[in-house]
Amino acid sequence: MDIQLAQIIFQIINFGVVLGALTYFIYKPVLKLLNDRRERVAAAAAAAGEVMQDKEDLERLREKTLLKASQKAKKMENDIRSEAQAQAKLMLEQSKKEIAAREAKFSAELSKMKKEEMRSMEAVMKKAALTMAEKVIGESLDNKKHQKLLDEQIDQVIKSL
Amino acid sequence: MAADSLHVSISAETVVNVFGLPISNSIFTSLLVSFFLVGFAIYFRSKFKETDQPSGLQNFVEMVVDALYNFVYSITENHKKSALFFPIIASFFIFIIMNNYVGLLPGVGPIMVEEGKIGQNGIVTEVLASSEPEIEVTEAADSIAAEEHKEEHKAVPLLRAATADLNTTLALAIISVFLTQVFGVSHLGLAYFKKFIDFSNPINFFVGILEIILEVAKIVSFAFRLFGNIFAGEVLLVVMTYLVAIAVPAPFYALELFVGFIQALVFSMLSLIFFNLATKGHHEEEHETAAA
Repeated sequence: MDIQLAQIIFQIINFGVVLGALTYFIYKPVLKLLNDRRERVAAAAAAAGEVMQDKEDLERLREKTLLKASQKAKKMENDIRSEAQAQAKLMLEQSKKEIAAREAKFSAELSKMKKEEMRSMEAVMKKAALTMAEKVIGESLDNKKHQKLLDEQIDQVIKSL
Repeated sequence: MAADSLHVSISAETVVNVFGLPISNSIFTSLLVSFFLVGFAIYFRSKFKETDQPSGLQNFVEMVVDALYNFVYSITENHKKSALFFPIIASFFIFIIMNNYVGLLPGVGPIMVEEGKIGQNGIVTEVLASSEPEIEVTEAADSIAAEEHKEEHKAVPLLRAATADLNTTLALAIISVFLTQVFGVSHLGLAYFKKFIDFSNPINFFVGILEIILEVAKIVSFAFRLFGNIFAGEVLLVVMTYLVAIAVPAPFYALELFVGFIQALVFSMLSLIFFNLATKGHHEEEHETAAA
């Protein structure tokens, strides 16, 4: 093997020239370009991250608002429901009262009507009884007698009922 | 010596003397490679555009540069160090792989010139083609010198892969080891030399001597690993082509393409690791080992 110092030095210089040329003409511009691009990509990624963060914040706000609205709606629904139930209860009570009042009124009217009917029936029966009694006893009865007789008969009828 | 012989020489042969400086075929080839690389660099710079949508050549170069930078960063894990080491490591890789692959090109090896037939102006005046080769292996400088006396007009290959010449690989190894020391001193100052000269106790003193031997061994290891692999590959291809000219050498060419890539990568990676280690203090290394 032939080791020559001159050739070694020549190759060192040769490599140095290649190193210099490649560094100046290729590595520096390409690395600068790649670094710039990397920085731009990083900046764009950061901006995209911010946008994503904003989106997430908005999403959270939307969910919060929706939750609030939902809770409010539920509360309103509950309020309305309880109010309606209270009103319904009130109306029911009023209706019950009204019905009771009507029932009382109706009962009173009925009782009154019954009394009137009884009175009219009594009068009719009185008249009929008077007529019958006149026919039976063959004499005319005065009012006082007739009334006495009638009362006796009616009392008997009522008792029999 | 006949020009039509199977020529295998362990050392590069002189094809021309320029002002007394012998230019060997490996230097001639490495000059061609260097001209190509420098020319390519200038051409690339002229076509370079600062765009986010590169195409063609710029796309390819950006891809290669980015891959090599990421490779350097994966070892250093530090952008400042990566920016410092990257040009040297990338140049090592490109220079070595180009020289390795040039040796596989047709014409590199078979084109023979008669020694001394190239004029002083560097122009090849006579090229001999090989037809029926016969094996001749020249081994030592002594035998070359002896033959030079016997044969004034010896046929030598015009081109030879630069990395198949020990002078080139030694030069690259010296650059690598020298830069290791430079980076070590630039990062640690004179404390870097403490690992070589340490009188704190006899063991450290002995370890320092071993470290010095290690630095020399690095040069030998770098140089002989690259030279041995590439030269052996070339010999393998020459012999296989001589034995069976058709089809059989193809797998060996593929193997040599792989070996050429791997050797360039190994040289670059080892250089990078040594650079990185040199820039780390003793405590930093211990801390990293403990963390690992």
